[in-house]
Amino acid sequence: MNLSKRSQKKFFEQFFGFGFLRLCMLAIIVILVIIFYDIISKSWGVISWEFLTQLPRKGMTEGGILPTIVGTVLVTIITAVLSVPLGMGCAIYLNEYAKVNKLTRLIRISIRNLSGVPSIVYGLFGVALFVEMMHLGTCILSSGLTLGLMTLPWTITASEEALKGVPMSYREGSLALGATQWQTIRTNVLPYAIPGMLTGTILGLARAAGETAPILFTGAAFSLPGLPKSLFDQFMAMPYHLYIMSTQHHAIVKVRPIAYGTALVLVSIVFLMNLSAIILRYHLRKARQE
Amino acid sequence: MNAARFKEKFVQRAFLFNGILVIMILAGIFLLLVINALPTFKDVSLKEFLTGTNWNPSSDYNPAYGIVSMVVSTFMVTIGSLVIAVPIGIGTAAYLSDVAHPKVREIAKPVVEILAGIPSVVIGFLGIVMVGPFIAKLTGTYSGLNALNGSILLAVMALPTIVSLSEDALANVPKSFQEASLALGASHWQTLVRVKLAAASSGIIAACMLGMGRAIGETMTVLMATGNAPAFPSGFLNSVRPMTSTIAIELGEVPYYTTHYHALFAIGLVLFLITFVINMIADIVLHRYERNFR
Amino acid sequence: MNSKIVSIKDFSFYYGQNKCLKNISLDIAAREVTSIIGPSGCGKSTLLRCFNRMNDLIPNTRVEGTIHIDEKNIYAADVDVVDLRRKVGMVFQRPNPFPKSIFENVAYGLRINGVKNKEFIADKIEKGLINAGLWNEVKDRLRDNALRLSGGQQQRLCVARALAIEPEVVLMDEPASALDPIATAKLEELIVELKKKYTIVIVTHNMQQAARISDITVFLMQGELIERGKTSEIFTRPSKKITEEYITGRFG
Repeated sequence: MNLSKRSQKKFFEQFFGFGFLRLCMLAIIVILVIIFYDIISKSWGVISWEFLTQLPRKGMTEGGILPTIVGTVLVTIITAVLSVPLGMGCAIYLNEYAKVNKLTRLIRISIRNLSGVPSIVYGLFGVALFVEMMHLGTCILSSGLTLGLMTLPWTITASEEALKGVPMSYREGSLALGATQWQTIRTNVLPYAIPGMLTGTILGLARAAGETAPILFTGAAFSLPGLPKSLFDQFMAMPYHLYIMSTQHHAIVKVRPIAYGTALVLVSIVFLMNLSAIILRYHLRKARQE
Repeated sequence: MNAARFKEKFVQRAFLFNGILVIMILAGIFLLLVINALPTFKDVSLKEFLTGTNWNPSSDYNPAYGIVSMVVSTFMVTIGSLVIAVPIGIGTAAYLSDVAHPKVREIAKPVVEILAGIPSVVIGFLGIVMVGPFIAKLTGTYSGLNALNGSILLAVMALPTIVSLSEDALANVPKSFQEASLALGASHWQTLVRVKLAAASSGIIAACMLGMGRAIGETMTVLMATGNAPAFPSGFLNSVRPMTSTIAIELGEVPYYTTHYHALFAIGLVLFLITFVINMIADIVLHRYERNFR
Repeated sequence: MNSKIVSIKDFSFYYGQNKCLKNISLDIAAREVTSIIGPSGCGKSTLLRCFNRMNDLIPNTRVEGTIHIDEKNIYAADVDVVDLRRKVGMVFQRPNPFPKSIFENVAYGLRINGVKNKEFIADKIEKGLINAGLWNEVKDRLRDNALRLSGGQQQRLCVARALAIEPEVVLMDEPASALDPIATAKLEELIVELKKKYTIVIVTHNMQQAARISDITVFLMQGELIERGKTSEIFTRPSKKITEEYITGRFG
């Protein structure tokens, strides 16, 4: 009697407990659905081929957002050019060469802290280093480099994960045949790690493409008459455009649809990058299991 | 042969330098912040900067450089977000690790990743067009751009971090713990709460701290959604202006190399130090946790 | 008795504070099969991996004493580990072919040594595969991925891979432990065949295997060398009681 009462209590406890956990998961899904529903439903009317391929007109109250797409793509390319080789190199050092010592620990601590530095502080750093000290001025290059530094810790972490996924026996087998360490890495480790490295890198670049704070003062411009002509020009960017259209524009209510449209394009691009990374990862896992 | 050896050494050195570069970047950020922040204190005493509640650098007669209001704002919004995000985040992590069917988990995990992928400026935008009006209607306030709005948005931003790291922590709890508890007749729920969550607690704490670090440093959402009133915050339904917003708003307007410009770097330095300390604590907690299980 | 090719003197190996190999002295003769036996954890694999300094990869380890191969101390400061490993080949416990074609697996050692001549490579590969007794099974599908081979074929491929660069000594670390009995028998045949040309040191936990294939048997326990002798003698009249107990299966 007593025991069955207790097990009844146990049952209810578990019933409500698990119910709560399910609610938590549901909350996150609901949040995501609301976000996507709101953006998609309110931007549907604005999205058109013209919206993607034309310059803004009439004080940005009409026309398209082409310059912002071009700007974001260019900046992201610079970001990748800085962050991918440095990130992979650092990951190779940590996973293949580094011994267990104070220096290695210091590098790891630095990486973790770099990934925790607020994006606006990267913005300040970008102003101080690239815009002022290196006299690059506010331009695509300054912004791209700033974002490149910001994504560096992510690229390193992702690349190291990929390197860890390469079985130790590939390295041993190669070294035992008299290959040097670099030969081993180049011919028998990197070929199998690079797809995984790319997956993580794409995720990092997607995040960089959506960042606003680091480009606020390093190169992003409110409004420009045309497309940028060189890397030393200022640029318009999707995230910054969305910020302006929703807070700084003189006719905020009138341009709200454009803001929604920009949000949808931005989210779509980020989402597509994420999706390609996820699909790539899925295929990798399958290939590895075979 | 000698050339090959030389090449090996050279490659190794290059990678070593690449590793050290990371330390140099972190040190460089710190150093440049310090260099650019120091001139502030020619005009402003450190005491005024750290204890003053009045921030009004653009006043011609009596400029004031106290950061207390914005520090309090930052922590208010952050703590508000944690109150929302921690229970939901840990709950979701527990759901994913212990309740969800493996197939459901396969779908649910990308959902969390997608949430993490939404740019902060988009979340901020939704704070203006959706959460703001909702709060305004609910509470009868004018715009709904206030600390509460910021907290809700930051919660959304911090959730993915908390969920995925907590889930990692739960997944790392040895299966034997769970089996031992179940074998003693504990229910699944009891095992989860008393054994798994307890065993994973330091990992979960670290997850929450990293989520907190992310919330403190978040710029665009708070910039867009908290209303940006530079006064001392008096409640969650008032507009506030956290540290990150202050930098974002004012750096675009100040003439370079004025006291005001340097003071913004000083705020950046404070922000850097706060997140640095939080990350270090999380790191230590996590390290201890890992040592327990390996 | 053949001339000795490997000579170990007063050799100790430390993992952190832990002394895993204790003052081992041992000579290994050329063109013979020497097997190292002993209970698990006795340090037999560790000893083997000292011969080509694979243990260098493990952090926090150090050695004392010397190992001479061809009269040269391989732990001397001026030794190029890469050269050493070209001279001392190794076959691992689990078959570890690279996820490349069968051809590329065997060609790997040649390519990293800068061999470019295609005919030379093709010739070496054929010889290597013939030596490893694998040629007839794979000659028509050299471009297939090596991971498609069976476990036993994979292991013989690893032997071919090691032989292609013509090492003087071949180390085998429990090479049959992941194989089925038939594949094991084939591998053992191969080992006996190989000793005509190569010096082979094999670690095994299987005493029948040691008895079947080796000329010399070394018994190791808790990091100490207990006994070394002709295989026929070790297995029939060991000089130490503890060896006898191990061999007759009283522990291990």
